[in-house]
Amino acid sequence: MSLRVATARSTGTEPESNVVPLSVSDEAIVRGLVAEEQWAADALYDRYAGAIERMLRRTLGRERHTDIEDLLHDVFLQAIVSADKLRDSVALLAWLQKIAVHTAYRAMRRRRARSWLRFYEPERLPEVFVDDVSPELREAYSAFYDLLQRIPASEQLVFTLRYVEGMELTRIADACDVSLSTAKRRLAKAEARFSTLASRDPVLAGWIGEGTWWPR
Amino acid sequence: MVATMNRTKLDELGAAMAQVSDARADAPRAVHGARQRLRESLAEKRARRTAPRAARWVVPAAVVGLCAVGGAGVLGAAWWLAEPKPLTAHVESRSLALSGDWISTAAETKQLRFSDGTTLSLHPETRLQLRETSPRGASVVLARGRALANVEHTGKAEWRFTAGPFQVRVTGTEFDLAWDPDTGVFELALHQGEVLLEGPQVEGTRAIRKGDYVKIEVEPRQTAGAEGATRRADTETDPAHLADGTHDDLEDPLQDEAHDGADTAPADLADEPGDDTASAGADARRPAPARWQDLLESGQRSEALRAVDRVGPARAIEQASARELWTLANAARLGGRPELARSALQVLRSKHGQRGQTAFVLGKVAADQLRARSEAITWFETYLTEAPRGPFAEQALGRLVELQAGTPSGRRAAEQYLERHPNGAYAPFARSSLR
Repeated sequence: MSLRVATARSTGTEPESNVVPLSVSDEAIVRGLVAEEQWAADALYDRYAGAIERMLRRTLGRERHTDIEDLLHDVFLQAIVSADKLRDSVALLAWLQKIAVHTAYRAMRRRRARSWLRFYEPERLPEVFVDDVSPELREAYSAFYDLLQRIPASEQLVFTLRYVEGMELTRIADACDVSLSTAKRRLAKAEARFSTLASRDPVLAGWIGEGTWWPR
Repeated sequence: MVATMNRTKLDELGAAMAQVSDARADAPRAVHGARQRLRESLAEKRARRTAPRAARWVVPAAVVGLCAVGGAGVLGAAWWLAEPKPLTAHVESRSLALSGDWISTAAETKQLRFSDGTTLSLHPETRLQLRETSPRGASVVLARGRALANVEHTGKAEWRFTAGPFQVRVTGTEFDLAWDPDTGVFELALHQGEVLLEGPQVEGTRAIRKGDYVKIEVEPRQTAGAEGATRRADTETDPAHLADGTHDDLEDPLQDEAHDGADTAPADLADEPGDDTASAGADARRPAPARWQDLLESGQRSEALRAVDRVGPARAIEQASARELWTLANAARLGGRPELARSALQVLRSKHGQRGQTAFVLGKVAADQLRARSEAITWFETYLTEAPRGPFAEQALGRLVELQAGTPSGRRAAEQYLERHPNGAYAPFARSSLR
C-alpha cells in the first residue's frame, strides 16, 4: 500500500503525490471520493466535519439516546460511499447537510419510538461545558430541547435549523428534501406549537414574553 | 390559543441556544472520534469488497444450488466460504492494531470493545496484551492486574486468556480474571457460562462454571523485577524517551502503550510456548529497523511514527528535508501526534522558510488537536496575513469566526467571511453568530 496524498492546489486538477491533503477543491474531492482515494475522504472530513457536527448538535440538542460522534460518522460514511451519486460538486456542503438532516431525523424518530420504554431511559447526565455558561442559560437550554421533543420530529428539525442553526428557508427546504411551501408550513406549525408550550413553561416564558403574532 | 411572541425573540432564543450548544465540551471529541472510526469503517468496507469476491460468486451459486438441491446446507456452505474478517478492537474510540498491542492502566480504568461485541474492562494497575485475533476470538495475555471479560456468545467464539502460567479457554461467558506476578496469585470468578482452565495445580483441563471462584497461589517468579528491568533499560537507551519537548507520548497513553508493546514484553511471557514477542535480548538480534521516511512512503504511518521515536523526534526533524517534514507533519497530525506535527511545521517555517500553508496547518493542529484556542487564532491570522488569497483563506477565516464567536473580533471575522464567502461552509454559523 502506498501513501497517497493530494495536491495543495485548489484548481480541481488531479491530485499529485507527497503534498499535504488540505486544499483540494470540492470538485477534486468528489473525483477523489469516486475513485475511492483515502485523501479525498480525509479532505472532505477536514473541511466539513466541524460544520456538520455543529448542525447535528444544534438540531438534536439534548438527545440522550444519540451520540453525535456516531451520527457524524454515519453522515460521512454515507456521503463517502455514495459519492458517485453526487452530480454537482459545487453543492458538496448542501449534499452533506441533506444527509445530516436525514440522519438527525432518523435519530429523533428512533428516540421517540422507544421513549415509551421508560426503563430504557438513561439517567440524565450533567452537561459539561468548556466555556462559562450562566445557570439561567443552561436551564433555558434544557427546557428548550425538552420542549422540542414534544413537537413532531419533522417540525423540530425545521425549527432548529431555522432558529438555532440559522439556515435560510430555501436551504432548509433543500436539506429536508421538501418544497419551500412545505418547509414554510412546517415552520409555521412548529412556531405555533413552540409558542404555546413555551408560554406555559416557567423557564422559557420569560424568554418569549409578550408580543404580537406575526402575519404569515 | 396561540401564544403571542415575535420572530425576533425566537431568533434571540435560538442564538442563545446555539451559544450554549457550542460551549459543550464534547464537540471536539466527537469530531476527532468520528474521524478515527470513519477511517476504520472505510478500510473495512474496502477490505470487505475485495475479500468477499469469492462470496459474490458463492451467493448466486448458493441460490441456484438452493433451487436445485433445495437444501439449506448450500446456504450454509456459502456462508462458510465467505472468509470472515478477524476481530477489531477499540479503546476510547481508538482502534488497536491487535498485533501485539499492549494496553495499560494506571489509576484509571479502560474498556476494550471488540467488533463481535465482546468487552474487556481493565481495572487500574493492569497490563494486558492482545496477542492475536481471529474471526472467532482473540488471544489475550493478562500480564498484571484484573480484567472483567464479557465474551459474546456467538456459538463459535474462541477466546484464550493467559494469566502467568494459567490458560483460560472461553466460548462465551462473563468472568473476572486477575493475576499478580509479584505474589503469584491467580484468581478467576465466573459470573456467567463456563470456561476451561489449565495450569499449575490444575489436573489437566478443568471446567469452571457459573458461580465458581478459583484462587491459586504459585511460586512467584521474578517477573516484576525482570519486567521493570526491561522497561528501565529501554527507557535509558531509547532516545524516544529523552525529554525534548516535542515528544507527545505523555499526552497519548495509547501511543505510549503501543510503543511499549513494540519493544518490551514482560519477561514472564517470553518463555510462553509460541511466544513471538521480544525480550530485551531478542531485540538486540533483530535487523536494523526501517527508516521512518521509507515507512511513511509505504503507508505504514504508525510504524513510521514509532521509528521517529526510536531515532528521537528532535533528531528526525533536524535531519529531514522539507519534503520529508511535510510528510512527517501530515502523518503526525493524522496519527494523533499533534506536538510532533507542530514541531515539524515550525522547523519548516524557521529552517526552510515555508510560509502560508504551514501557518494554516499549525492553526488546525492547535485548534483541533491541541485545543489551544489562542495559538490557533494566531496561526490562522498569520496565514491570512501571509497568504490573503491563498487556497485556505476561506477555511482560515471560517475557523477565526468559529474560534472567536461571541467576541467583537468574531463579529468582524463573521462579517468579513460573509462578504467574501456568502455560500461558504461557515456561512450559516457566521450568520448565526451575528444575530
